[in-house]
Amino acid sequence: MKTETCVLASLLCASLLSVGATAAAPDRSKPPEAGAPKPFTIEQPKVFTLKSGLTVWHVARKRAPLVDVLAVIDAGPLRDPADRPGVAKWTADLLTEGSGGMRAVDFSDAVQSLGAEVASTAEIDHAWLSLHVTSARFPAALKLYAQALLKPDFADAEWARIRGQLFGEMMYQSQEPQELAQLAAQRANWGAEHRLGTAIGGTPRALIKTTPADLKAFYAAHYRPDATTLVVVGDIEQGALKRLLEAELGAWTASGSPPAAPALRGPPARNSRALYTVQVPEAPQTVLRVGIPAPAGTLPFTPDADVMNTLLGASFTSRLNTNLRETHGYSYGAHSRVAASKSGALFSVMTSVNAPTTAPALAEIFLELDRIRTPATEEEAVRARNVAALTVPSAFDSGRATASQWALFAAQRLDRTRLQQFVDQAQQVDVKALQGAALRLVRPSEAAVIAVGDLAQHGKGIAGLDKAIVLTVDDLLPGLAEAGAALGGDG
Amino acid sequence: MRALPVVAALIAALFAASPSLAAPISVPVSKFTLKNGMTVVLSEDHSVPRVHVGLRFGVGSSRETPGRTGFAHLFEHLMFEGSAHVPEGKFDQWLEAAGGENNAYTSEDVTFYYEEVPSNAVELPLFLDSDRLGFFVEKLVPDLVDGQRDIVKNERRQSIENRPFGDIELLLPPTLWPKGHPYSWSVIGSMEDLSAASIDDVKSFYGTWYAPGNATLVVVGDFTSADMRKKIEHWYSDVPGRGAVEKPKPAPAALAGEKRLVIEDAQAPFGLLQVVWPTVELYHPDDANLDLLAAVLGGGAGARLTKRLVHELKIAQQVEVHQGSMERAGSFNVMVLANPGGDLTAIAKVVDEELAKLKAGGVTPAELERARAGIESSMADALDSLGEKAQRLAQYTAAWGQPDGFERDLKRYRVATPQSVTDVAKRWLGKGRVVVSALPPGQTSLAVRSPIGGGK
Repeated sequence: MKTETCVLASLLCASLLSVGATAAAPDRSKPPEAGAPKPFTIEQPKVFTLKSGLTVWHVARKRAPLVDVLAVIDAGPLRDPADRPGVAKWTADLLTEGSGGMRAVDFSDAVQSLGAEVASTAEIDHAWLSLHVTSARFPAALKLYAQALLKPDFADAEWARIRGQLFGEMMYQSQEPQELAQLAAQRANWGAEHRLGTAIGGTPRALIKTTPADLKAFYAAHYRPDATTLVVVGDIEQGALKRLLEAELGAWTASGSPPAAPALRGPPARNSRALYTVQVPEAPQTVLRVGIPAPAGTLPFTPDADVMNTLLGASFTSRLNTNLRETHGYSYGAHSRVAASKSGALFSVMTSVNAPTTAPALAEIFLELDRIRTPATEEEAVRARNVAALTVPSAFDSGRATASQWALFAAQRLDRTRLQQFVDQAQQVDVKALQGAALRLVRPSEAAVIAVGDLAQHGKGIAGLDKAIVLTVDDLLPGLAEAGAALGGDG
Repeated sequence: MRALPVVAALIAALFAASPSLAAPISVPVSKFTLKNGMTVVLSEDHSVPRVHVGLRFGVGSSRETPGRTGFAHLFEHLMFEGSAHVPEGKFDQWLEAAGGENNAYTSEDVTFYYEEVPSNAVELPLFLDSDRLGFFVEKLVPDLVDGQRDIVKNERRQSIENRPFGDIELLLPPTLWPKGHPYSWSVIGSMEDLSAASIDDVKSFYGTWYAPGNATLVVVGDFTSADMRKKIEHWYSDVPGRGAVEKPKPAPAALAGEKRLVIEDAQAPFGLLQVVWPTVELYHPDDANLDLLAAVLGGGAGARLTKRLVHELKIAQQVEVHQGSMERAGSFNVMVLANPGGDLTAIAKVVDEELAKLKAGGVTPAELERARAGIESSMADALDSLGEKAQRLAQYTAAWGQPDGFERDLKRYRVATPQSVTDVAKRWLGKGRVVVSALPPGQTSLAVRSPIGGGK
């Protein structure tokens, strides 16, 4: 008998030890069949409102002694001042860089002495501020968190430093092929006139003219209890949570009504395929993106769209990954997604391919985009809908993941029952519905194609290369050289 | 050492009294060994209707032989290509059809595979894993090796060659470790060696390292232990044992002096300084103290190097410090991203000044508490995800034979004192080290030019 330890209840241990040798050898002639599926019910957040008008979504869970908090604020980049793209993100970034008269280093020390993490930034639809801490330290950490949310200082000295770091991030973006592809895809998909056609993190030109006064003004206009949803997930009961939140966030007030929501425009329509390139000399791979505007009203967790996308490029056995990675060996992986924001939705393909194979790899991508518009097999439909529907519980595995999931619902104002409906409806998506979604979303003749790499050397054979729109770093990050001169650096 | 600002000191005093974790961290487990020698750990967790099946093999790039670097990782890819009763491509297709997902990673010491499935489909990963462990080579053909070789080469291009500073991962190991040392090559390996790998290499690697006695199976999730044990015993009953595999022994290495590595990186937007000292292996008595020292130097805005370089002098954008602990040896790493156009020698001087100050003046109790609080929180994180829990249980089982090792692990940090953390800085961060300067093309004049000291 081998070594054995058991710290389960003794009764269970006894039953474990009593298991005898199994009789028959395993039947390996076919994969074992699954038992009856267990239903999965997503626990809905309990919603309540503080006296200040701040709405709280609360999910209590006991599994680990942890609490996660995510404030979702209607203060994303669509609200940027027109001449200062980036202000929304920089305002959010600075919440954790000094508040209540406490400098950034002191705030960081105080947070760390509690073993906590406080972070902030902005995404397409919203700004967010997060707290992750053990439940024993939650009351103390919440004081610091509230201070960051309610009393950011936007001090000149901190901004001078952060501005240098933001410039460093832009320099990094200017050299990293995947980042360049992301920026080029935004420009190609949304156009130069749309806020989402420019880096979410702003432009170097805006960076040098932005002052703490701009950030303070943005904060004053947009950071309000009636424009915020607070998601709290973890080891705390509702009564205790309410008392703590009233104590720490009760004083948050705002006068007047919140600013009007920005006009929402989806990605502009495109009537023919267009190629955009960014030249990166000697790049060993070409980063490829394909973008197609999705019909207005396409939301996250749309069953037929997600099942179709799973089969096309959002699972390991997807057609794109199988083709580019396994069959042809062009790539380490190929993916697609349907990304929906309040402003609109896009269908995208993403991959990086060995540079000399750029043209044939692109041809294979379009072959798959055409093929998904024809009926899939029954086996494919079953596989895709099971991946799409049955992996949803993973999004609620950790408290941190659960908080992020609900934050998405808060940011996009989605119906909170939508995901539960998705789990049920995705399993009904059949071959016909899947094809319908493909015809609606995957329209290859309206695609923007983005290629970032050494196209001068490896571009031969790419359709439309002679008419490609060549984007430069200055198109994507305007004012980088000026910013370098203005911000100096020390070299 | 500068005095702590008043307000932070007040907060530290207020809260340091309440412990970060109110109760000991413990996970209910059962552990047993199969007849074929495989260690099994079960832990029920009914939070979500999923089951995570993790399979840890005590083999990584450090078990490779010269001329075959990158092989352990290439082998990991091959393990998904089917086995005697699982046709090529079906491993992933069957799992996904059941609503499952899977992946794997290879490090210097470990190859870890996992599947996560709905709890009604848990026999499928047991069938797939036992089949590839017991009957892997029977269907192996050269085409499969060629296909995965191309994919791994693409992985290398994507994760290393086509990104700023990627080359450091390839060039640092042979500089830091002596020739022939098992850590002296990168996990991803060289393109030449990947090209040279043959089907005989695959068979021999499998025969040597992929034995049940070198594996730890950890299953965490929504099941009952008695039933799961029966299923595991059933599916592994026809996988024969192949004896025990010897665990690696510590293989510490020292450097006589400072070695400098200057890398001109076509994609680097600014300079990166990395200073690396060879240190101790995982769970060595000094290992936890080195983790805490890393946090004191680089774990947050108020950490010593970050505060000085980023916040006060403003000559750097970011600092990252960590003790990389592996089974045979470890390394202590200080990484600093310079400002665009910034001089790395100036940064390296400040790093050395701060180290000298710390060695002379010691770590403060407040610094130690901050470092420790972060480690305690990360331990609680491990309870809050099926996958994280499985990895910790596998790691503790392989190291200590004790899956529920959370408190034992925490104790290593709880016994540390300001003096013990100061002592490891004196003991390990000396003259023998590698100083890496990675710079944009044409900017090598900004590299660390002359020996800059170090020393005790």
